[in-house]
This record gives sequence, structure tokens and C-alpha cells, in this order.
Amino acid sequence: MKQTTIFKHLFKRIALILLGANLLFSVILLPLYNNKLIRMIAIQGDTFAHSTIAACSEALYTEDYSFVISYVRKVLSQSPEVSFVSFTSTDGTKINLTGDKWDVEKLAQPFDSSLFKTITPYTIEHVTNTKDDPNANEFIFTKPVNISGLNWGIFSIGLSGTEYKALKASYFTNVMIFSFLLLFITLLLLHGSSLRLGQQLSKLRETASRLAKGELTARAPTDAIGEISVLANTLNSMATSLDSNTKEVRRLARLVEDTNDAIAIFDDNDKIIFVNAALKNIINQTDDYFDGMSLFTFLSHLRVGRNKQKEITTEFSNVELHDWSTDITVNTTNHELTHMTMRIERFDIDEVDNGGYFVILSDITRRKQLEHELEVLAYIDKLTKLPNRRYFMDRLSEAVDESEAFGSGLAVIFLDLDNFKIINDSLGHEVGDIVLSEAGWRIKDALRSDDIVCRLGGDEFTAIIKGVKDKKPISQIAASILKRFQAPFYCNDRELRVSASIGVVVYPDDGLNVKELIKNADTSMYAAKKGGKNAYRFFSEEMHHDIRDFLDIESSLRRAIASNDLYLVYQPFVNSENREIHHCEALLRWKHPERGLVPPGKFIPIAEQAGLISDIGRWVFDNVCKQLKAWDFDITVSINVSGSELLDSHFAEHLNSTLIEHDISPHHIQLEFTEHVLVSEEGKNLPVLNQLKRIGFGLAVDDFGTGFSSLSYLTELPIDVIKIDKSFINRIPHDRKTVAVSNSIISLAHDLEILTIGEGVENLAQVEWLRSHNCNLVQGYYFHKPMSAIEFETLLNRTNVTLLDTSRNKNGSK
Amino acid sequence: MNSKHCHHQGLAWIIGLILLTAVSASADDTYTLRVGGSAESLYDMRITDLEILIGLLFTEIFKDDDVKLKIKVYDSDQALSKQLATGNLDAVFMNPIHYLENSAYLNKEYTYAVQHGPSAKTKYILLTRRDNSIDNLQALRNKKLIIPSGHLVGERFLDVELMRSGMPVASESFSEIRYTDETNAAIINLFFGKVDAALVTEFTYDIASELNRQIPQTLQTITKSQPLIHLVVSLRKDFPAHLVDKFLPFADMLNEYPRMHFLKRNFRFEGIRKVTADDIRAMSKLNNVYVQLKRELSAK
Repeated sequence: MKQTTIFKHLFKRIALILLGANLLFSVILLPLYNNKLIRMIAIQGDTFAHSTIAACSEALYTEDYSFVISYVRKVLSQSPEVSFVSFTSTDGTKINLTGDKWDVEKLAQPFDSSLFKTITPYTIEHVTNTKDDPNANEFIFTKPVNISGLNWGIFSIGLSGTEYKALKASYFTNVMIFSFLLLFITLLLLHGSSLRLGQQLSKLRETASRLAKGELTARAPTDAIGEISVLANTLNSMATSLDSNTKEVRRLARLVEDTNDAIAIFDDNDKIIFVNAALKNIINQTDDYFDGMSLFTFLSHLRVGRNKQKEITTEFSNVELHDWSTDITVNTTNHELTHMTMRIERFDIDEVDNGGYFVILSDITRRKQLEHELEVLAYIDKLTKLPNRRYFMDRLSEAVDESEAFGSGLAVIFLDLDNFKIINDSLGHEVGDIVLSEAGWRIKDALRSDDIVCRLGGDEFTAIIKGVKDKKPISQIAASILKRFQAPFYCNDRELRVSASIGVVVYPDDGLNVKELIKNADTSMYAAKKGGKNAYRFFSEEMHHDIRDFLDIESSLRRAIASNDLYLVYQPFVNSENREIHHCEALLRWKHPERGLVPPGKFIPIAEQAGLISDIGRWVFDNVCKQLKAWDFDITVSINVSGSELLDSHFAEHLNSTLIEHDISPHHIQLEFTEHVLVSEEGKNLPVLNQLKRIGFGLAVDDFGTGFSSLSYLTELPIDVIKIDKSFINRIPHDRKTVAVSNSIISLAHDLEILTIGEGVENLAQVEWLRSHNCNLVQGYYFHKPMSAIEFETLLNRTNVTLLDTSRNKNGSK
Repeated sequence: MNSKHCHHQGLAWIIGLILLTAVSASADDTYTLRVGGSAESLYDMRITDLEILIGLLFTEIFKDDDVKLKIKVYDSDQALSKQLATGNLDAVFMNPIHYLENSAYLNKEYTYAVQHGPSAKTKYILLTRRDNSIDNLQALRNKKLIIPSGHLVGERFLDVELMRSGMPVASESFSEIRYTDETNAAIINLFFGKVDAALVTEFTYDIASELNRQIPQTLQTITKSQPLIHLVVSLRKDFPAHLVDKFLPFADMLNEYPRMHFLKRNFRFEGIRKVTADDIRAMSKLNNVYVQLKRELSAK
């Protein structure tokens, strides 16, 4: 593995330190070692001297020098490290012996024996480079000779310095060898350690390098030792954080680059350092174009007006605001005026070291357009393109103020289409919308160009007619409107006749403010409705009485449902052949505590408008079930069902559960619907009708012939009975067309296996005609008026003998 | 190294040669070689040291052969002569005086003189201190004499010289005669005045003078003998002649052994030389003069 630089430096330094330390220690220890060596030599000399003196002591004492010389020479021949031996007696005789010579010397001065007391046990002297011998290198060891208390003299030996020199050289050699060996072992161990460390550091370096190159998924292995593992974990954490932050920054960068908002970043020197694609598109330039551009120049290139430029730069530079925004309009390269919101915001110092700020230009052209559109829409009815209620209120308020200020007149017209609900329900909203749109334009066509026509909602329209005080011209206008409604409406190849009811108020006679005018106009329009529709009415105070009457009936009706002021009567369907009765119709009656009997034609519409019809319908169905349960004979009861009741999605379930509750078979109940309910909105009610049919109810068409639909629906709906409307019956048998139509209806019903019932039969001729045309079941005053349940039961007992037949008994039939 | 010491080293060599020769003669099977010597003929070496030295030589020479060595150094020349006479020894080393007395048992053809120094024959000298003013034999009367052991030939020469000068033999002329094991010690004792005269070989004196240049300045020679052999080695007469003849050249090939060169240099051993008839005659003549002079002195 390639050695890393850090280890090379480390090895060099360790090598130098070790060598230096060894050399230093060797130099420091050299005197100690030298002393030790000398001491060793001294010990060696002492040992030699001791043995020699011990061996020669007797000879010395007896002066048997031949023994001494012989002994010493023998010893010298075996001791090459000893170069000479000398004995110096106290009388001054000195015998010098070497390996191959010996001599005797007589000292000039006798030896001073007193020296024995002062000198140390021995002395040793290193002699080198003497005058006699430049190459001399030896130690002279001197020791006093004491023989049994007699101070005989001095014993000296010459110890070769060769060994000392060799040991010293050996010392340095050993030091060097030891140093290099220690160095080698140390470096070897370090090298061994550094291999793994180097590998781990190399992996760290490699990971860091990969991270530096942008490979942010790179991670260092964490199975290293000690601090390297910690370092690897730290690096990995940093990489993870960097990766996460980079992804976030990239996402943000992508967002900044791809956002539709134009973004420019300025440094603290007010120079552009970044623009995104949106901004480049706006000005249709590249990055170089923006490079170093100041805010003022930038605004100039955006073709912001000069005054606006000054405003922006002044505001942003003078005010210590963190952020600031304004709307601007720029002229793009496509020469299109673009509305933008410019937001300038300073970077927090914590976020960006060098400060600066950024500019965001958000294209709000579309928003402006939408705002304009909304503003328009706020005053325009989408369907008819006429001004809406809000516009009407504003204009009416202005008109009132204006009339008050100038004393000019003002008329307000409220118009409501007659029976529009039937059109809507039976022919669908699409047809209804066409009718409404056409109606709006007809109204507008009938007015002056400066008159204001508005659609309030639903089938209600208003008109503000300024500058009029007299009712005559206003009447002409209203009549003109009604006249335009006389023409048929053509919708989807249909020809429809639509009329309108108009209420008119005049300022200030009928109201001094907007609220009163509107309220009174609505009242007068309602009065026109009540008056028979297709008419206009000027407001009068009496009209308020009618309204109060309506509200009184509504509240009373609510109480009646709870307090059983409602009750049922039953009108039989008589078989004209045998006068038997097997079927009757339950009819609702209301006896007002004060008003007396209120006809259904009056309170039923009020109930429908007040949302009470469902409660009333449930009350009727529940009481019919109770009555059927009370009657212990086989009879079928028809119940009228309002179209509003079918709007309840749980209508069929409720009826079924009521049947179960009273243990009544559905075959004993027939549900009657008007034509417009059955054919409304292209079969919207068909699912619930089928559901009712599956439960077992009989289904009948009430007032057949009064609707607007074709007869084709009879083949598509699960109809069991058709009740021919009283308006047909009344003209039978004298009106030829009616007879023909009625004949066709009965014939068609028979072909479709549908039972027909003639309702409103009042004379025998009608009975006979119906019977002759196979419509045997008739209902009307000719036979029986509606009666109470008890009367009906009595009637049956009297006239309908078959009811007494046990085989027709209801319980028996079960 | 003093001369006596050198003589002892040389003796060991002689014994080694004898061993070599004797063992080689009976190399066919295990043979026990019996060598004898006299302590009185030894100088500068203790008996034990000599036995060790001979043993080392024997091991060195016969390390590959199945030969046993039996060496015996007797206390006196008489004991050695007795063993020789009884045939218990295969070879002997002894001084020439005793050789002449036991020549009947020994083969003169296989008798060798040990050579130390430049010649196989050495001169015996009598030394005195110059500062004692003793320059003739007469002045030595009642003085102290020192003689290294093994110098029987030298003592015979001194006795002859003393008697020729009208003095009795040494044992009677000197007040004290000291014997020393070391030849060098005799000269040193004389140097330090412990004795008045010393009888040593000239070779020994030369070596001592080399060791201490003060010696020739301090000592002087007052009489000197003719060259005489001082130590001989000899085989018994009944030692198998064919074996001796077969391996005799071996003695002449000593110089070819490297280890022998080392030993010779270390012990100043120059070799051996066959004793000639002149050598025998010279010794016999000295011996005869001694006998005659002693007889004359007794007659007086």
C-alpha cells in the first residue's frame, strides 16, 4: 500500500527522535559506563593483585624472589591482559616483571611507609599516550602489600587498556546496534500499525473525496479503531446531513428554477447573482444578460415605469424593512402588459453570510383578470347575462338616493314566471334555463334602454324604471312585458306557453327605502299570482293582509299536524256495472279552529311551500294504514302523493316500514301521482316508482290529461291505474274532441292493461258513457261524496253485499 | 621460559615419542605401554604435571588406536633401575650417569639425547655474583651453592673441578647446597644474594639473561664444562627389533606434524638426536676422572 504522507512524516520524526534519544542517553550514560568499566578493571586488578600477593606473600616476606618472579611470570604467561607486575618494597627495591622480561630497580628514595595510612585500598590510573609510548593505553593498578601486619610495600600491575577500549567500542557499537534495532522494531511496529490505520484513513480520504465530487451516498466504513471510527461516524453523519440538505437544496433549487414566479437574487452589493428560468423567459434573455445587474437597472429592463422604479428603489433602500412588496405592470417582450406582484426580501444574515436580498415577481395577470371577472360576475347573472341581485340592490339604492335627491319618480317591477316549477320539474333544468334566459331578454326588450333589468334568482326578475311617477306609463310597461310573454317559447323543438305575474311599486308612494320597496313589490307580485297569474298588480296596503293570511295558515297547519285537526274522508270508486265498491280514495281535510273547513286546494300549496307536505303525507299514510287495519274487509285505498315527497330518498323505505308496523299488505294501498310527478326531469322519479312497485303498491296517474307530456310514458312507467281528469269528464259526452281523447285514453289503457277510473262523475250520462267505453269504475258525486270512515263502512255494509262474503273477507283472504 | 622448564617440556616430548614408537610396534592388538622415569632426573616440572602432559600427548597421538598407556615416575634413580632390571618397563628416561650404570639392559642403538637449544649437548657453568669478588673455586669454600634438580651430570662436573683444584667434592666444600625444582630459581636466588654460587646449564643462563639484562651484569661464570648430554631416553634391549625397525622412521617425521611444530616452539624443544659413541665416551671419561680423583682424594 502506498504510504501516506502523515506516516512518512511520523516515521521520520520518530526515527530522528529515537536516534537522538539513544545518542543522548548513550552520551549521558557514557561516564557512568566508563566508571563502571574502570571499576571492573579495578576489580579485575584487585583480584589479580590479591591472588598474586597471597601466593607471593611468604616469598616476599622471606625475600624468595625467585619464587615471586617464577610465579608472576607463570601467571603473566597465562594473563595476557596484564602487561606488567611490579613489587616495590619499603626499602626501595622494585621488581618489575613483564611477560618476557624482568628487572630490579633500586629507588633513589626509600618508600614512605606512612603512605599506607592515607592511600585508598587501591588506586587505578589510566595511562595513555605517554612520552615513552605514544600508543600506550593501559591501567596501572596499585595496591599496598600488607603481609601479616607488615607493610611490605606496593604492588602494581599494568592492565591492558585494549579490553577497556574494546568494551568502550563495544558500548558504542551496542548502542548503535540497539538504537537501530529499536528504531527498526519501532518502525516495523509502526509500519504494521500504520498499514491498517493507513487503509482506514485511505478509506476515509476516499469517502471524503467521493463526497467532494458530489457522490453524496458515499459512506465510510465504521469498523475502524478508536478515533478513526468516531471520525468515520462523524463523516457519515456529515455526509447524511449533507446528502439530506443537498437534496433539499436541489429540490428548492428545482422549485426556484421551475416555479412560474420570476426570481432574482442580489448580493450585498446590489448586483444580481442569480435569475431563474421564469425571469429569463419574461425578458427573453440569458444569464449573462443579468450578470451584475443592479436593482434599478433590473427594473428598467422589466420596463417598469420610471416613477415606479424610483418608488421601489427608494422605498426598499430607505426603509429598514425585512421585506416589501408592491404590484407592478410590466411590458413583456411580447408587448403584453403583465401584472405582477414584486416582493423584495432581505436574506437574514444567519441564512446567507454575505447578506443580499431577492426579488420575486409573481404573475398576477390571471388573478387580475379573475378579479375583474369576479367583479363582473358579482353583478351579472351567469344564465341570463342580466345584472344580478347584488347589482339590482346597488342600483336600486342609487336610484332611491337619486330620486330622493332630485324628486324624480321611480318604479320597481317584480316578475315571477307562472308554473315555472312545473316546467323545470317535468322538462328538466335545461329547458327551464332556456325559458329563464328567453324570459329575461323579453323583459329587457319590453323596457327602455336605460331601464335596468335584473334576475334576482330562480324565476324572479326585477326592473328599475327611473323617472316615472304615474302609474299609467308603468302599467303600459307591465302590460308590454306580459304581452311579450304571450308569444310561445321554443325549447328543444317544444312549444311552451309561459306567463308571468308582475308586482309593481312606485317610489316614494309604496316605500321610502330599498327594503320596503322590495318587500312591497314582492307582495304585489304575490298578489298577482293569487289573482290568477299572468297579470300585474300595483302594490296596495291590502295585499299585506293576504300575506298575513298565508302565514297564519302555515302556522295553523303545523299545529294541526300535531293536534289531529286534520282528518281523512273516503270517496268510493263505484263499479258502474254492479254498484259495488272495492276501492276508495282517502282525501285529507282540515278543520281550522277559527276558519272552519279549509279546502285542500288552499292549504296543500301552502304546505308544499312551507315544507310541511312530507309530514302531512306521512300522517295520511299512517292513518290510512290504521283505518285499513280497523276495517276488517278487503278494500283498496288510494292515497295522493305529492312530488315533493318523492324527493325524500327514504320515502319507499318509510312506507314499507309503516306497512310492516301496521301489518298491512301493500296491495291494499294505491299511490296516486300527478302526471308531472311521473314524468319529471326525464324519469328522475322512475327508480323510486319501480321501488314502490316492487314493494307491491298500486300506482295510479291522477288528473290524467292535464299534464304536458305525451302518452309514451305510460309504456315505460309501472302504472296500474289511470284516473281520467275531471276536466275531461265534465265535457263528456257532449264535447266531441273530449270524447275522442277520452276514448283514446281508455282504449290505450286497455291495450296496456291499465285500469281506468273516471273521476268527478256527476251525472248519469257520464256514467253511461264511461261504462259503454269499458271504464266501469267511476268516482264522483253522482254516486257518493267523500265520507267518514264509519260512513264508508256503513255504506259498504249496505250496498256492497260481496263484502260480507267471507271469501272476500280480508282476514279470510289471507 | 627458564631452561629447566624447557627441559621438562622436552622430556614430555621424549616420552611421547617413546609412546608413539612403542605403541606402533604392537598395534596389531591392544597393547599396554609401560614407561618409567626417575623424579631425580626431572627438573622444572612436577611429576603429576608430567603425567598429565604425557597423557595428553598419548591421547593426541593414539586417539584412533586401541592402546593403553601406563606411566610411572619413580622417586629415585635406584627404584627406576630396579624396575628396569626386573623387566617391568618398556622404555625409560634418565640422566646419562644412570644410563651408563644400566646400559646392560638398554639398547644403545635406540638411545636418544634430548636437544634443547642449538645443540643436543650443553655446558654446565658455575655462577657467582660479581659484587662478592668470588672469581675462583677456592673462594667458594664454605659458601652457599644452589643446584637445580636433575643436574647430576653437572654435579659430577663440579665435583671433578673442585677436586682438581684441591678441594673436596661439593657436598664437603660448600657450607650449604640448596636444590631447587626450577633452574631459573637458582640464578634468581644468586641474583638476589640468597646464595653465593649457582650451578646451571649455559643454555639456562642464556635464557635468564635474555629475561633480565641485569643478570649478566651482576653474575659471572667462574668455570664451565665441556658439552655434555644431559638426558637420554632408551628402549629395552628385548624390545622387538622388527617393530622398532618398522616404525623407526616415524621419529624422523616429527617435523611433518603441524601440532609438533607448535609444541616444539612453545617448549623450545628442538628435537632428539641419537646418542653417539663420542657422547658415551665423554660421559664415561668424566665419570672415570671423578672416580679417580675421588680415589686420590680419599687416599690423601
